[in-house]
Amino acid sequence: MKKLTEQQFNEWAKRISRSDRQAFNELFRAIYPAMVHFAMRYLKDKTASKDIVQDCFISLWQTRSRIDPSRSLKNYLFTMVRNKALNAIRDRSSFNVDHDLVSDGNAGSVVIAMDDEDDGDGPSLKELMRSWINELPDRQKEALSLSRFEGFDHEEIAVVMNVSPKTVNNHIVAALRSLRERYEQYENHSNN
Amino acid sequence: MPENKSHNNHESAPSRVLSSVNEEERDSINRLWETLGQADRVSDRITEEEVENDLEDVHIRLGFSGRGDRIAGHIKTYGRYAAAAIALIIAGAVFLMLPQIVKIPAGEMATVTLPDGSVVELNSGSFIQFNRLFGYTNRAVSLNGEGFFDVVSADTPFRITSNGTVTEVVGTRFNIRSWSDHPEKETLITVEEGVVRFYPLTHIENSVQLSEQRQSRWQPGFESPTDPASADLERVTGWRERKFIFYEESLQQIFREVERRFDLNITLEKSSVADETLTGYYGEITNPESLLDDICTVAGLRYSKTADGYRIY
Repeated sequence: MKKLTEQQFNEWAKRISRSDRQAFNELFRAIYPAMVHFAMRYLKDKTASKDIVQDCFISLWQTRSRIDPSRSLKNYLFTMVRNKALNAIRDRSSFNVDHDLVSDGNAGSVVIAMDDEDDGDGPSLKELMRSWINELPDRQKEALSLSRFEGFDHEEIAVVMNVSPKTVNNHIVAALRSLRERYEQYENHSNN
Repeated sequence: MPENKSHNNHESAPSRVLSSVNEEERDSINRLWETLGQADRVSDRITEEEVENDLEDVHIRLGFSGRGDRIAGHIKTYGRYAAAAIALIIAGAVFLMLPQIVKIPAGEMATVTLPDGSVVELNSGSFIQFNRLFGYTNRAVSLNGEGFFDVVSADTPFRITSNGTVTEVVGTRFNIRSWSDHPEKETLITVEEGVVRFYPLTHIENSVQLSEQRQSRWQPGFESPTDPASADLERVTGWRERKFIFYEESLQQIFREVERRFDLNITLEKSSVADETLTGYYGEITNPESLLDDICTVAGLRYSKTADGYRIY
């Protein structure tokens, strides 16, 4: 799938505001997978993620007459997903904001993945990385994950997290520095 | 935000990150960035089928009627006299000269009685337009689509313009098929009863006279309409009984007709077959899939359901 342009989103926004169902379908098909994927960063559960993304589309259609053409539809949708995801986490304590946690309640301790290639030798680097990411402060973890795993640029992260791009950069740099420290310790340790 | 995520192809850290760390740090940050790629926990992919199912759920929640329900509903309400089923859009109620437009939604058919008493049956997705003085100073109608006209006799000639043609009658019954989205913008006229004069809008002198059971066609580029030829009326007017009849019709045109008749969207992904022609005859069909089964078998194609129609490949 080719990367969608801001112009394409603008076009959809205009058509949807005129109740064009075809445009609604096109938008859904184009962006639904990415939105579900994004929601799963916050809610680990796929079904719950799909539910909130579908809610976003429902509310987009229901408020279509008030779509603001000067705002980016894409940003609007992703921001809405994040807000709904964070609300869902708040409402249901069984969900956890972090996605890099191997299993709930194990923050800080290393979990051995049974399905990993190198078994018998303790936790793999992948598992360690996940637990290190998990120990980062929430905002750092979020900015880093969106940047590294979702491929968002700083501006996009800034919009959804409602902070400045500079703050986003600070979060990511801080996250990378603390991860690097742990990574280097790990490398030195395994080399000895 | 990117719609396509290949997690492990962001091999180097964003330039903005790199420019805010020391030069000595850059290498190790980049190495870390690359290694991090394997630590992503969210790896589920959403399949095309899931997207279609979920879109259908959203349609249901929004009250966009389900495809199946809609077709069944239309068949029940459809009738020769079911004028109530018409979506009648009247524009320009203020000025006499502003046109009145009758548009038939996809999935429906309707019978319209014009102010002079002439009756037009319109196929799904068609529309006609006439002005408010229709029946007084003129009997002029423009058509996009397909209609069967039963024109009452009167002194004023009844004129239909469509895709650059004029069909002129005094009182008669005939079928016009003239879709503005036809690739050649063809107009096909078939007369059931009486006499019709048919000519290109720009060349009145090149008219042909058509009598009962005769048909003629014209498309831009033709100097004059084709010579009257004998017509199979049942084939031409089968749509009035909701039959589905096509004779050496291109797949593209057949799928367009299915789209209009059943109010759905068909994407023909294998464009190489769009111009292949088929001939078929179906009585009243209620389910587009029975038709698609046949067409796809014959044409060596397959189809899958989408939230609002079919994908053919």
